[in-house]
Amino acid sequence: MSARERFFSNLGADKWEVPPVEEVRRILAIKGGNDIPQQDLVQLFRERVVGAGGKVYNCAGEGEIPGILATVCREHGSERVVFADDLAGYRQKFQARMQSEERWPGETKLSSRVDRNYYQGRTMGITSARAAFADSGAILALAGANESRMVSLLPLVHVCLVEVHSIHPDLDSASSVVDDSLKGSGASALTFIAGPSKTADIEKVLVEGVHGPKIWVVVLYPMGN
Amino acid sequence: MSFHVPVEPQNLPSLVRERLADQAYRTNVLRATELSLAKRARVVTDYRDWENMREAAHRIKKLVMDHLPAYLREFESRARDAGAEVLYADDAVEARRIVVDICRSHEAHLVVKSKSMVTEEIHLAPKLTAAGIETLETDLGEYIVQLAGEIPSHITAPALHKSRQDIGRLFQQRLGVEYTEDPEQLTAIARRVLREKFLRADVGISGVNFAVADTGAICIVENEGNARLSISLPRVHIAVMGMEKLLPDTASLSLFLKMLARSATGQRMTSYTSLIRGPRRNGEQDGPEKLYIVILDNGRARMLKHPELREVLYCVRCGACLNTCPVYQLIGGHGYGSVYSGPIGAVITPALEGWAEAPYHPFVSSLCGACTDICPVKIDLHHLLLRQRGNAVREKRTPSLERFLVRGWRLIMQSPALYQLAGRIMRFLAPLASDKGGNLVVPRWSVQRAFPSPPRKTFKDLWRGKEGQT
Ligand code: SF4
Repeated sequence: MSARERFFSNLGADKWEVPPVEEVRRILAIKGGNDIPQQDLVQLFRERVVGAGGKVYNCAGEGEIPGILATVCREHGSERVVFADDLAGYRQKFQARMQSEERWPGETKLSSRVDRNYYQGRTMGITSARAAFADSGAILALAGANESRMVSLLPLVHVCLVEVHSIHPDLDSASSVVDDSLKGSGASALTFIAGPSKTADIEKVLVEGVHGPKIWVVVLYPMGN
Repeated sequence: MSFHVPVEPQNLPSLVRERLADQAYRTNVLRATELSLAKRARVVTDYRDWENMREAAHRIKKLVMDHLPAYLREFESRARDAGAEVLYADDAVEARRIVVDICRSHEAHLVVKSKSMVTEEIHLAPKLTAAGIETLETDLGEYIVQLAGEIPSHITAPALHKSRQDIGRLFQQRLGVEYTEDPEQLTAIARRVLREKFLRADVGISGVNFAVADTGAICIVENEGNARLSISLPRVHIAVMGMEKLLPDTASLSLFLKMLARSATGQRMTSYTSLIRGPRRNGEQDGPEKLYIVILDNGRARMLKHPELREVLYCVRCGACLNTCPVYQLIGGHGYGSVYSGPIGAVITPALEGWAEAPYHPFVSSLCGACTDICPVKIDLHHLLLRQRGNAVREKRTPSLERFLVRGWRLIMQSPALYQLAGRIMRFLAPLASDKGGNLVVPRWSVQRAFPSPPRKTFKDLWRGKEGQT
């Protein structure tokens, strides 16, 4: 008997069909609907990001994003700025801006062009969110062909671009987004990010930046119109 | 202060006494648990329906346990579709062998591990180290505990029993750094040491918080990012999971994620919640080339067949029952001498390790029911504790004199004549024997309690007197 057969025979192999999905739905219905007011989604999301230790910037439109990135970069003195590959356009505009405004000693790269050893010192990683969730302030990061897993994980600063229309009340209302991202030809890894890397393992004192980013920034766009 | 804590559940009484005598340890544990409880209380009120959510979570887990082989098969086939290798282990020995073999086959020299109770349960890290493979715990709390040669004292906060001074001295001794007790600086030291290891590691080992049958994905919940590093940087990712971790689908996962973070750390969501489906795919920029999922039984199939105990398989290891338990608050995780502590540990340790190893566990509780009230999946913990006490008696794990006396007591309680006779004898004996230093009739019992002196007249006497008056 193989290890697998033995394992299953110990379980008592009587029921082989998973219950119909309706049964799961029926049980989940017990929990009641969510209490999140639809009209305040963006406001709630913003509050929850801050509550989780993040910082929020608002952009009226995409055009303002490179400027905001420059502000964040200056504030934290970032010198190695890595963009997810699908943000190549922003990278060019950001680079041009940094070089025209002042003497900036740093450089920018696309995530596919650097390896793990690149993220040393004052680094910043920039990604875009596949979706965001108001009740928790979480964003959904999808690593794959366009985005290295490293770019939201190894730098000291992680900036995430969030389109306001991609904000869902909570994961309940967006489980299909997750399923579509994972199944079939989707990505092998997705991560809900809600805050900087943090620990409270020493006397319950909150310390940020234990393994991953110390600073977590969300840039919301387009805001205000 | 540092002490070595081996896994010795059978030494529970002496461990409890040790912990009770250690004032500093108790202070650390009490402060940490109270803080967690306060944080939790603030966020469970986000929902009007927290109680209904608990009910739903309970029933989802029940559904999964009622159909576990089917859900396991579904999960297995979806995970395999995505390129993961799924392996099964009946017990700890087999699980360790599987993991060591995988590491050897990939010629691994350095393994980074993220926090997981199930790998503690099977004592994986020491085994890998013994096999000549350097194995590092990378969760800050686990790293501290590993450096100190101890075992974790809490499910979600492994080093909560240590003060910043303890940790400062530990780092100074073991890492050769200058003494500091500043949590920021201590954390920065750990970041530097561990980052270098992450970049070189061959294999990353993680636990699994949830496994989603419908997608074949495993879910890993954390705040530090060490799990993400462990499962992203090395060539090989090994995930070890208890077979009870399954959930039907992403919609159910959504419910459990809301409840786990809130119950465990008082957060709405932890910093990182990762879903992993298979190893790196063609065209992806990074990720491990191989993903192995090791599914562990280790006594769980037996629990599943048990009509009452099976409920413990609903546990999501949030640690809330530890925080709220008045006994845990006094003795901390090390008072139990076992990997799982607190109310859930007191119930499952005898089932996992056997009664010979853990005869006293169910008795380390007050049966107050605080654990049952707080449990996000509504496990009836305090009744299970009572059940396990009964089982301990049936297994003859309690002192034979005690069992004899209880049997006698039962006899007396069933007969009014015997009851009256026994009452008379006790009323005669007790005053003679009751004094401050201990009681001759119940010497052990009265070491920490004053034996009440019986009133001169019984209730019956009084009642009779009253009748005479009217
Ligand atoms: S028994 Fe309940 S409260 Fe205790 S750790 Fe498990 S899920 Fe949490």
